[in-house]
Amino acid sequence: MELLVVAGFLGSGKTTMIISTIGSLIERTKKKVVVIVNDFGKIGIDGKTMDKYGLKVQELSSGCICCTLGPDFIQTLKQVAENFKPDIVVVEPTGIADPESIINSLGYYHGPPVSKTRIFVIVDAVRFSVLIKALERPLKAQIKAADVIIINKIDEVDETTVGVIKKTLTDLHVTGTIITASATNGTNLDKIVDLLVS
Amino acid sequence: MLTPDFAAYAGRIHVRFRKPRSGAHIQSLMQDFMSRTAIGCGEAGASLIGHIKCIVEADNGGYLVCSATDSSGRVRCSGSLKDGAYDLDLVLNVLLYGLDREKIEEVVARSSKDLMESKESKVEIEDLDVEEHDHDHEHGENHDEHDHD
Repeated sequence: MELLVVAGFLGSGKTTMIISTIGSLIERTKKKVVVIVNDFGKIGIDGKTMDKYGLKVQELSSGCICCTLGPDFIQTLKQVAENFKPDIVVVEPTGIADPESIINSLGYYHGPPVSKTRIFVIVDAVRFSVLIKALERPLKAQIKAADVIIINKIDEVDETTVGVIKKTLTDLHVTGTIITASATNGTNLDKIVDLLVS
Repeated sequence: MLTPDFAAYAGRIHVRFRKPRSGAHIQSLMQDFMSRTAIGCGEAGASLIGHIKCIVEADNGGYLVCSATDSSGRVRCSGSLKDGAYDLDLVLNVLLYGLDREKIEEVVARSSKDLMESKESKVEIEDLDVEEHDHDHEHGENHDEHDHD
């Protein structure tokens, strides 16, 4: 079973990206995919949204995976693994979560084995310059933890802005693959699916 | 990112119309509501909008998902609404920095009542009680404190 964490700041487009790519991933690989969504509030909006698009979703509501809900996440992952026997578990944490801590929490997991873990981090191209100033340290932590960084919403910015974001990421010495995309208009979603399949 | 000025509000808004409404009317209403809520949060003193999002489900099977990520009033919506809805069930999350939860609640109540309550419609707001976070720690630094499985 593979664990794929799709992280990124609040409003960066994590849910839209999952909805836009998981269908193609399932179609191409014929693998069984379950999504664990962590949202705020007793009723999770992201989980309800994914459900509308026909995804199999397990919700973790009213808190955040990487603080109060750490044990709940491990328990949920174990239940999902045992009950659904998925090939891939996609985890969408809240936008304030540190994806590295989610991977680290697997040290407490004693369910069916996790063979591979990957972190995809979504970056909001529209707000990147504002966010990196306002929340520098945690955003850098998210970005540096990424195996793949998706610069999303490129349909809403010009090429210069995308270039500035890429340079900032390069200056941060990120090791992850960087890809530009728009989950809304479909730009480069096929490349993201290629990365998901690989 | 869980800084001391981070606040999360979750609420459920039930709207009951006396007469059926068109999908276009509901979409416009929801966009106005989200836009006014985002602008209201900005005007009330939010230093940074994280994400304001909602899902609206109508009694005739239609739904709409809307999202705002700044206080400019720009809202993105997707989904499929049909004509003839009497009831709307809306779940809303407001996640931002620099404004306390009570203030967010006031902004949401004001924008929902101003836009959706009239002689022709009734609005009920339910607080979905987001769990309080421990603001004293940084994310990723407290896993040893957990009683993991």
